[in-house]
Amino acid sequence: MTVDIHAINAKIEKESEFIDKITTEVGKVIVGQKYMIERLLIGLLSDGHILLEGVPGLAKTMAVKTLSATIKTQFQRIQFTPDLLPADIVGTVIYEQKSGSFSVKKGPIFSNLILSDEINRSPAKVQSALLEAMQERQVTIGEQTFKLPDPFLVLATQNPIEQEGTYPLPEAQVDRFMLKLSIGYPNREEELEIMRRMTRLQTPVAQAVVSPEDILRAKKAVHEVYIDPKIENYIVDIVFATRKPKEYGLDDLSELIAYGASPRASINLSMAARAHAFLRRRGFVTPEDVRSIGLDVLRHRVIVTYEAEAEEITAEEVVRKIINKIEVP
Amino acid sequence: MHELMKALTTGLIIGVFCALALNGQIPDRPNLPQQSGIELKAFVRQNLVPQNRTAEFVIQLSWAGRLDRYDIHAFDNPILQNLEISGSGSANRVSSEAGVPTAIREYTFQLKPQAIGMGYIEPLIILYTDNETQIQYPLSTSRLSIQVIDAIRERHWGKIMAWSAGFLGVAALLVLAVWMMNRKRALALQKEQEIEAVVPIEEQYLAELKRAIDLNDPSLDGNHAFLIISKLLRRFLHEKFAAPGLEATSSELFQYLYEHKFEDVFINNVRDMLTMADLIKFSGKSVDRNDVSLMVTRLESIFHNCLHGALNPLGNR
Repeated sequence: MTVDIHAINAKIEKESEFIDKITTEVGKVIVGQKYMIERLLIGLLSDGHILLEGVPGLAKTMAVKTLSATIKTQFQRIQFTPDLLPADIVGTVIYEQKSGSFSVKKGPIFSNLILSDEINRSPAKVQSALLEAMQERQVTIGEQTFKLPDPFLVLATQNPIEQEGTYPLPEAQVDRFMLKLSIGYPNREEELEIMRRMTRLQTPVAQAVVSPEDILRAKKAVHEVYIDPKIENYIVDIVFATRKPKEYGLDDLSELIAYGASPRASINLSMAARAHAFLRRRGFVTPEDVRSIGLDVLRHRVIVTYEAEAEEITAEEVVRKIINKIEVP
Repeated sequence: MHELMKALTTGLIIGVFCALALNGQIPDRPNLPQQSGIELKAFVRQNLVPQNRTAEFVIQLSWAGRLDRYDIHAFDNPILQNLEISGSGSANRVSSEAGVPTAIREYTFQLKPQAIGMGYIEPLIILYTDNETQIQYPLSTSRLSIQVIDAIRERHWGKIMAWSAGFLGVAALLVLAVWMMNRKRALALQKEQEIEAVVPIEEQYLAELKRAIDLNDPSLDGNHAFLIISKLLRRFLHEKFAAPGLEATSSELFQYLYEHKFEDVFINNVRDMLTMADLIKFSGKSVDRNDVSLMVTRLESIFHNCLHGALNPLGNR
């Protein structure tokens, strides 16, 4: 099969022009965190939700808010607390005494970008309501079903240091997030710049440079990014190695992995790799795209055994070993 | 008178008893002169002997002068209680004491205990004749005792030695066998390496390239050819320069070449080739025979240049 790669490349070049504008605008407010911003864009372009893990104060909320501002989209932040109810997220039907009828009051989920702060602070029923909406991209309030807006991106945060009084997300629900990001501290220079920028009288503000329509067109273009069967096989090899490490010469990992990644991992890795290639303004996927995004797609999908936990071996280390071992095409 | 007769009778009876008693003390001793120029020593070397060991009873006769000055008569074995003779021997020697020659004759008996308790060696009479005067004299030993105690543990040194020798022998054989096997393996490896060394790695890769891609083949799959070229180049860099293997991406490989200060010309050449190969491999782009031919030529030139030293990728670092 011959692909008109020139045409694809030209289209991708055109549709990805806004990427630089977004990163420039976001860069006015957020110092560093290039990795996080890039992953947020990947999630946005490939319809994948993101779970962010990092200690407080790493500009997670600000990054999402700024990204939203650059795209002229609606942004909502939901602080998850133990007393939160599903209706507080999706909305409810209220009785209007004046008209004597019921009307729908939509919840904060009817936004383009949603930041679910500390998602593990709410009970399972609230988490389920959000995760169901993420999956179905529609919610039912009373007897009416409403489609959620497009683009629709949920960013949930978890604090890795406080586990008391939390409701850890079940593995099946964690699997619904396309990426799980581990956010680290900025380096010394970045910290200095953050301090200077945020202590000015007028803090910088990002301007809207992209319309939601641009994003929708870009999402369509991402689907057109060419992925060669060799790359597809490479992705499947990586995912299969999480399930049957012995078959890939990773005998030492077989005792450390309880459950490998699901087929959803293959789908998400393929989509995320396409989006990564799009961000690089390339019309085809290379092994670099897969390797760059592989850890973020797989780290929450591989469940390690008690033996691994006892030896303090994390799922991230296991995935890293797999990615470094599988031969690139 | 009667009183006098009574005293004489009593005195006579006492005298007769005394004479009889004195005569009965050494009933076997011959009536011989008691003068002697010989010194007699009779002793046991160990007074305390375990039941499973032997004691040594020694009779030593020594006199001043020549050895043939006296003639020692043969005597019977000593009478023993709770002991038995397991061996005996005798020896003569002459030594000098303060310039005077002294003759020594020694008799030894190995005595084996019979039961735990006391063992005794009864007195022994030894007769000898003075060869100068031809007068015979007796000598007598004392009664000696030996205490027999519990047997001690036998060490069976013989068995231990035999086992040790056997074990050492087997170990030596094993070591020898392992050494011979290792040597055989080392020789085989050396031979293999010698054979490999004969064919340089560049030539091996050139031959492999020739086998894998036949430019004259009308059904040549250009896309597949690029895959082979890319793999061969990456494997070559891995084997020749310890660069990351096939599990690394092209950019990781370039990073390695930069970090290890390879020559810019070499890095650029490799980068061009691998970027081109990646484009062909992953973009689905059609490729014609000329592209493949050009790529094969470039790869061949890398192998040739490395082989003939025309290219020194590591520069002058």
